[in-house]
Amino acid sequence: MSDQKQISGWKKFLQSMTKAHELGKEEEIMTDHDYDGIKELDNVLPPWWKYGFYITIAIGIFYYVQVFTNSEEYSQEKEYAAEVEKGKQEVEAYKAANPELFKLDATLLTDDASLAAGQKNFEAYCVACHMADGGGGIGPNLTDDHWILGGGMENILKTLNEGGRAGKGMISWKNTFNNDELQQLASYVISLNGTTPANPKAAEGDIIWSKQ
Amino acid sequence: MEKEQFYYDNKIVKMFLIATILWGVVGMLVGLIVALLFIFPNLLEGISWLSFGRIRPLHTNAVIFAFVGNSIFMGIYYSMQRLLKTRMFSDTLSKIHFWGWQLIIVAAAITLPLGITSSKEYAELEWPIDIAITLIWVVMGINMIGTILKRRQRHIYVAIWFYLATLITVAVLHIFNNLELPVTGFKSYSIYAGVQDALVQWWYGHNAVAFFLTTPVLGLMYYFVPKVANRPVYSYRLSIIHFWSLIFIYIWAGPHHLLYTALPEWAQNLGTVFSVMLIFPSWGGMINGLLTLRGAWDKVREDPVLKFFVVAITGYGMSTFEGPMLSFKTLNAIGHYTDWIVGHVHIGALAWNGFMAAGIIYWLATKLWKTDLYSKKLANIHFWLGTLGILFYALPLYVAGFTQAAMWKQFNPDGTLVYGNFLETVTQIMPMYMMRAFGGTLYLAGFILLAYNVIKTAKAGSVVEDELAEAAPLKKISPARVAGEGFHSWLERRTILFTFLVVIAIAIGGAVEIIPLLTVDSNIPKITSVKPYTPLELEGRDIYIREGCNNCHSQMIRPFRSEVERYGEYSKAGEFVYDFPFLWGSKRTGPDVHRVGGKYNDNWHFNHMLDPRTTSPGSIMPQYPWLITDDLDVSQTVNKVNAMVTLGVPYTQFELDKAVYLLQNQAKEIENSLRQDPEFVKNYGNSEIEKKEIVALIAYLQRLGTDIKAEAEE
Repeated sequence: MSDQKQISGWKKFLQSMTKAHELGKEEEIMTDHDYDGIKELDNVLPPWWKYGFYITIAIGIFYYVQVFTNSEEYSQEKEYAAEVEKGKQEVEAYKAANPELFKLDATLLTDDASLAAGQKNFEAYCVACHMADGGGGIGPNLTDDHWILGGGMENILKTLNEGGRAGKGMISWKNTFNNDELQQLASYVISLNGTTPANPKAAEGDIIWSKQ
Repeated sequence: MEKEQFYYDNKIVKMFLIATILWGVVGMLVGLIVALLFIFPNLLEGISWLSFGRIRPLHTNAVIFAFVGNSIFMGIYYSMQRLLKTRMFSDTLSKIHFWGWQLIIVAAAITLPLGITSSKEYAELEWPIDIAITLIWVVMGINMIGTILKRRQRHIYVAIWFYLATLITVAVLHIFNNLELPVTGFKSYSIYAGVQDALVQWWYGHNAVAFFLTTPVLGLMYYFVPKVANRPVYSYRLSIIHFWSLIFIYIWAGPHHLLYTALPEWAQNLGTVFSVMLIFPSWGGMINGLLTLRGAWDKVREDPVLKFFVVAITGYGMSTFEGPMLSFKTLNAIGHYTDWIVGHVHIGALAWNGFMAAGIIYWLATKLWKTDLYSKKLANIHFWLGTLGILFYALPLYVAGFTQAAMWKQFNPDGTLVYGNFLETVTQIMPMYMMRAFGGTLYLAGFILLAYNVIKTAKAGSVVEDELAEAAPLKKISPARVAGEGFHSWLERRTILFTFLVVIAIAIGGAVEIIPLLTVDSNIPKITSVKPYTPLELEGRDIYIREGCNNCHSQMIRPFRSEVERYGEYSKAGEFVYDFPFLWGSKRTGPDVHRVGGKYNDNWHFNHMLDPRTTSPGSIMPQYPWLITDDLDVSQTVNKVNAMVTLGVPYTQFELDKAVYLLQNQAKEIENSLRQDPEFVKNYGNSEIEKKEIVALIAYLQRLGTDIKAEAEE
């Protein structure tokens, strides 16, 4: 480097990290290579690059030795179990603090606002199998008095929560709706009982229940 | 010293250049169609050969092997002759290489839309094409080695080192990942199953990125950047260190595509640590490229070609930093299966590969047609359109990836998922998909400008098919000349030894990871209740493969609370022992299906395939009406079961002899269960649905992930 006095500390640091040979003095480090006119300089490895490489190698070795020697501690299974346990405790704490939220209210709702809310979700999620008027298709007819898994708020809520018969019935909806929505939905389903759909599916199920 | 006169073969370079442009436009156009299908899933309604699952691999294959492949050959054929001071070894081999490669691309363009696929990512092409690729690659290899051996330049330059590494490693990867057992002329089964297949596949997939999309292009960089900038390469010793460290380390990093899966953790962690160690070897290339421009930055402002190179190399640096970051398990848990990965690979594809190719094409056009570029202004416009295109492509996908990952994982305080319905996480990121398509459009528009510019340039110039050159022949070197020669310089004269050392360097990592996994049983804990697929399920699985379902649906539930809550018990290594090939997938455009068996009833699946939006409003899945109208082909069922037996699947003699009979029985059962729905009876009651493809697919889907439930009951 020429003219050292003029150079700030920062510049010096940068220079020490790159060690790039000065432009204009490149002849000093020019190799005698010539490939189709391409010349090659022989600049030293930039120190920041070299140390970076060393550091990543050190990290790699450290990381691997760590997880290999403590493979029990760093296993996916263990990580998963811890995550589930933590989740469980959080949920239990929340349940303890807000017991009223976890009582699935099985009271039949009959006010228009609740039924409209129930209808909205029914038309978004349920009509693919039960038809908009509850007449049934893939799923059973909801308007007659025959029930595969039982009628009434309690049973319908249970079916919504846990799903229908394995491999045949519907999926569990408990992850999609909260308790209020489930109550509205079940109430809406009951409001369909006794109506006359356009294409009623033949009755299924041996449990007889009617809202009358 | 008597100089010899000879001619460089420019014609072959010109052919590859034209092919690059042509396939570039085609590949990007297919990419744009694929992007539009996210926004308009009904765009190509009911056309089986244009369905998303079939043209997504068409896009990837076209861009990787047709566009980037041809661009690499273009650059290699141009630079190699000049770096070795000789014409290519054989014009005939050059021509066979060119036409063979184009035929392979055409074969891919025909077979992939027809659903002829092995399902393994970037290796989808079926076995006859795999053999053709091998043969053409060997032709290219003979041509390259022959050229090196008859050179008039004593040492081989760094670009040639990278070309050699490409030649060898791609051959090794391609052969070992495509070992498959043919069943018919266009159907085969991978010889590896489940976890083993996954590791071999991602050893291949990751190193296709390394040795098809990176090393050859680094070689091109080492020739074209100093050539265009007329500056010396920054550091010879950096090129030595980063070359050897890059090829040695890259091979090990494949398992970072399989973090948090059923792959044994010793292998996963190797993938992580080698990815971290890969940052600086990759960046060595970036530094050497960018610092070669030291003292030439005024030229960069002037010359569009150098602008393309600068953005390309910068994009390379970004991608090669992001890759290792994604290899940390913490970040991988977020990014895996999301659009973040798609954004990441497109920084590499659009910036590094696309812009390197564009810069080289502009520069070569002026050399090949001996004239100035038709319009520098258009090239500049292309540069800005492309750069904006990259930003509009990648940034929204980063947002989409993070958004979706966060939505997948979020719990309500009561322990339920906030977004229990997967679809909500898709509709949320629709605007991002629109921006991505817009970005892709910009990029394609820029590339079309390049095509126009090159055509105009070619029309104005006159092509020189054989360019005269002269160089002195190589003489035997005297001992005095080599006194004090460094080791690497000595090695650069011994090309056979050099090649051999490259083979060693790239063989170690793969061997250390793959051989133990194939031979040590404890890597894959056995689950006794896991049984082979029935003949009907096997046929259904082949339909799943044919339709490319694994492009959007994973079959690998990671051990996270949120995934187990959403999908069911996380996936175990022992569940996949009969999966030839594995179908874990690498992107979730739709939900994971590993535990979909028994979740819905048969009618739901039937309606879902007929029109996904009837069962899942807002879904962006294609419709599959042909599954309901096309008869299931059972002519090969026995052969398929037989092939499975050859691969070691324990079918009984009875199952083998009565395969079709068993298949028809199971099909009839499904048809009977479909009759629960009066709508089905009304519309399809007399359609003999038990003979259609749909029942096989339903059988397979209903089987998925159910075997371990039997164990739980035992």
